[in-house]
Amino acid sequence: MWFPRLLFALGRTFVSSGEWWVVWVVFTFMLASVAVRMLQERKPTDATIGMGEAFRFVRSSRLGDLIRVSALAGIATALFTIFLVPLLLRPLPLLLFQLHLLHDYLIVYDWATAAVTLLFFALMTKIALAVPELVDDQGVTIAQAIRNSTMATAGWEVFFLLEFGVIGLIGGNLYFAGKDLLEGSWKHGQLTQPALN
Amino acid sequence: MSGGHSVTTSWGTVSVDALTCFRKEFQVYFPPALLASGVAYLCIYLLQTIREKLVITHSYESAMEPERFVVPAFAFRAGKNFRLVR
Repeated sequence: MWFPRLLFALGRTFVSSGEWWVVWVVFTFMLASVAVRMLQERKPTDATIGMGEAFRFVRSSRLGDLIRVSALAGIATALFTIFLVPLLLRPLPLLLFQLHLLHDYLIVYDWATAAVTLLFFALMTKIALAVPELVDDQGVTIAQAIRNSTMATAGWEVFFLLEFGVIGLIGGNLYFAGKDLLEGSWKHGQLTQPALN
Repeated sequence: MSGGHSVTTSWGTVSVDALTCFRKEFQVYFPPALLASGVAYLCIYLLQTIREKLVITHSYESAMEPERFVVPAFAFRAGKNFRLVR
């Protein structure tokens, strides 16, 4: 009985990793195209290229390496969300129960997940500079580019953490404000329908 | 202004310059970002549909049967004997 369940769980994990990989592929190729365009603008020839042309250059030069880098990020994200977050948040119910705060479990769980996710993405940003280096320098390997990016961003971890925290707070506030506004206007619309007349 | 610059800057010119620069960059980056997001959304929607088909327990009713809530013996012992907060 347990074996089909395990297969289904593994299948779901595999598909979930695929979803994360799609996000990272799009991000990697967008970042690479923007980097190519910006590097081209810095050259003394003064010629600007469009995003389409930059994307074609990226696709023809380092397609395999960029897919590998994004796969690495996708696997790391999937491992983080599927394995590490549940493991890290496992003691939370026990802790809240002993503090007599179990009724706040959902809100504490949301904030704890947000904090752990913030930390993970602040650390993931340390390898982001590998993408521009890969498209700029044709001779560099993935391992070298990641190592250089990690070294170049040494000491920036707290900045990334605070920056993403602020962006997340602003984005979250805007999201909930918009949601409340829509919900409120919908309820108001329901209450003032012509059907009530 | 030192160094021979005679250009006077005001908040108005700075704002206009910033808006012009933002508009120019927005026109370059927004269409490809929208296109890429659309393609990614379609792919993720498809993968989510596949993932939802891989659920072995099809209803919350059966997932919430009382026997599924039995606390494992080791977790019970840990909860009883090990205190995180004194």
